[in-house]
Amino acid sequence: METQHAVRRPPRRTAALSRTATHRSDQKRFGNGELLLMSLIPFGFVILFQYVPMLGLVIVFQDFDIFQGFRESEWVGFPNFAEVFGDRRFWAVLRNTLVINIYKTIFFFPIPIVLAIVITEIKNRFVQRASQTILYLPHFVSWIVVAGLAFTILGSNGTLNQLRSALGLERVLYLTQPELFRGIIVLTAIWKESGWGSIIFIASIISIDPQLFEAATIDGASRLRRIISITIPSIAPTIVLLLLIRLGYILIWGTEQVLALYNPTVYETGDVIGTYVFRTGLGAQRYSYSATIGFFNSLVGMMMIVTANAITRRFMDRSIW
Amino acid sequence: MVTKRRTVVSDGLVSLTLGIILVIAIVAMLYPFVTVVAQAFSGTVANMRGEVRIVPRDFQVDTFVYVVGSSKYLRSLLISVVVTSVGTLIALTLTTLAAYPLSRRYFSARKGLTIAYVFTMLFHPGIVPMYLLMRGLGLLNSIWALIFPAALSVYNMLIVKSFFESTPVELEEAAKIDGASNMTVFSRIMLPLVVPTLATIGLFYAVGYWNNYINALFYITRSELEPLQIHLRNIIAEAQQPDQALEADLSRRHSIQGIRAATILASILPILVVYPYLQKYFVKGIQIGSVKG
Repeated sequence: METQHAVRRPPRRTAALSRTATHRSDQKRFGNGELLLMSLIPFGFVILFQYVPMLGLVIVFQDFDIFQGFRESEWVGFPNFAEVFGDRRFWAVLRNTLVINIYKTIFFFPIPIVLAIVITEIKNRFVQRASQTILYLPHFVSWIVVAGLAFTILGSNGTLNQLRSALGLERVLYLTQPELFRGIIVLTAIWKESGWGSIIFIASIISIDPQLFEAATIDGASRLRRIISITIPSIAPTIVLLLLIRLGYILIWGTEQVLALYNPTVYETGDVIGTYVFRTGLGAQRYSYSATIGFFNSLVGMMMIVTANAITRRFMDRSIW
Repeated sequence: MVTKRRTVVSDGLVSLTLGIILVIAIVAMLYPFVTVVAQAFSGTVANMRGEVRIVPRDFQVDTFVYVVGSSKYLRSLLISVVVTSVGTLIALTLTTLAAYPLSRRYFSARKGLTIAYVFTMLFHPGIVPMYLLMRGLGLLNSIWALIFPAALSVYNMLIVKSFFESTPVELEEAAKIDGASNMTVFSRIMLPLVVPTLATIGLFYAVGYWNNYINALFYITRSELEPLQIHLRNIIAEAQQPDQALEADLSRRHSIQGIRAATILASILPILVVYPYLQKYFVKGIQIGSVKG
């Protein structure tokens, strides 16, 4: 969802003007206390479910024992970090996370742009709406359903293998081959999210001044020329912005998808940070070790997002938040 | 003349290419659904022999009836319905209560609170601290563990906030001059104005709750509390057992493929029912999210 939250920042001057209009007398007149009271419930909720668990991160400096709790567990300093960074498994899952997300960026990212161009080039309103309805639908099914559909088609008894055996070919266990797993992740991501991802580009194309297209047509520009010389340059800022956001989220995205689709035979190529933390933490109950990985991931992830945002803000006068 | 003719040919070619891309995309999006529908309503033997393609063979509804009538399905359906409806109500309440104060320019804590909310979008404490919190609160193996972690999306809150901001200032000022309190302004003037937005956001929350399986995986171990997505996950895992799949036992009443397909179908039907309403609103919602803060 974060992708769509690309905010065009208001010019700084208006922001400054409205700030000077915020007088203390206004606060008195309009009742500040009531607003504070109103914020109490949702903010208390955020404190409890977001900030309190951040305090729980102290266990990265402990040898945490779930029966002794935070207070009684032994404080050990940094050996958890030493253990994590000295662990080959950690570097393997970090590498998988990066590789899978880079593949996704290369192969997934252009498709919503192409779909947006295709959809906006449709002149028939009915066809346009109907195509959008179909292309957005996969976004609304769960990753478990996507996994179910993947097994239905690619499973050992799936339609593709049925077709192969009908042709006298051997069955292929597509979903248990480490060398195919990343491809399947990219394909299922494309299937589920590329239609939905096109919305922001469609919005961007629709906002192009139609006079540009009219003028180009009068000057004899062909349809392809209009796409290349008007549409694509006009949406280029949006493309760069979303690309940066995507790169910012490279460590964070994709856990839910992999968790739904993977199995022990593809850990080698498919195990990502989120799934590894889940198994070592909640499964093997190595709380301090897995929390340390999670902490590292969140920290680096945050720095990447902040950097991406700073770049877009600096060079494009737009920001994610 | 020559250039003009070349232009026409080229345009036709471009249209053709665009058309082909569109057709490929639509077929690719629809094909898995079509296969699932075909398998769900095909006969057991046809499914096991792998003869089902895109239309049901030996049409029957027994498998579907069997799947949606099974006690496990009904129990997990109930859990999902409760989590989705209660969760959406709580989420909408929290979202609105958080968004309104932040949308008032004269609110003193506006900046600080906004930063505190947005920070949670950037830094996640991670799976283990969340698990320890849930455990500490005694919420493991309770449906609240499926509701609370997703009950306030800051992203959605910012959309609602921008709607409150877009309401005319004069409305509030006029009411205040007439002596209305903040609570009156909020409940009598502002709330009715954002109802359409809340309906959209509510649908998003509902779909999110319906499709979420990860919280159940983390916090639920008792099978009677498993939501529908986890039930579906178990069915998919069962259907994947290779020995069962390869040695087709033709005497079975229902094929593995049929059961799997029928369960997938039964879990996405509610989404398909609300989808037309979703579609009506979501593009608008997204576009506003993309233009305003």
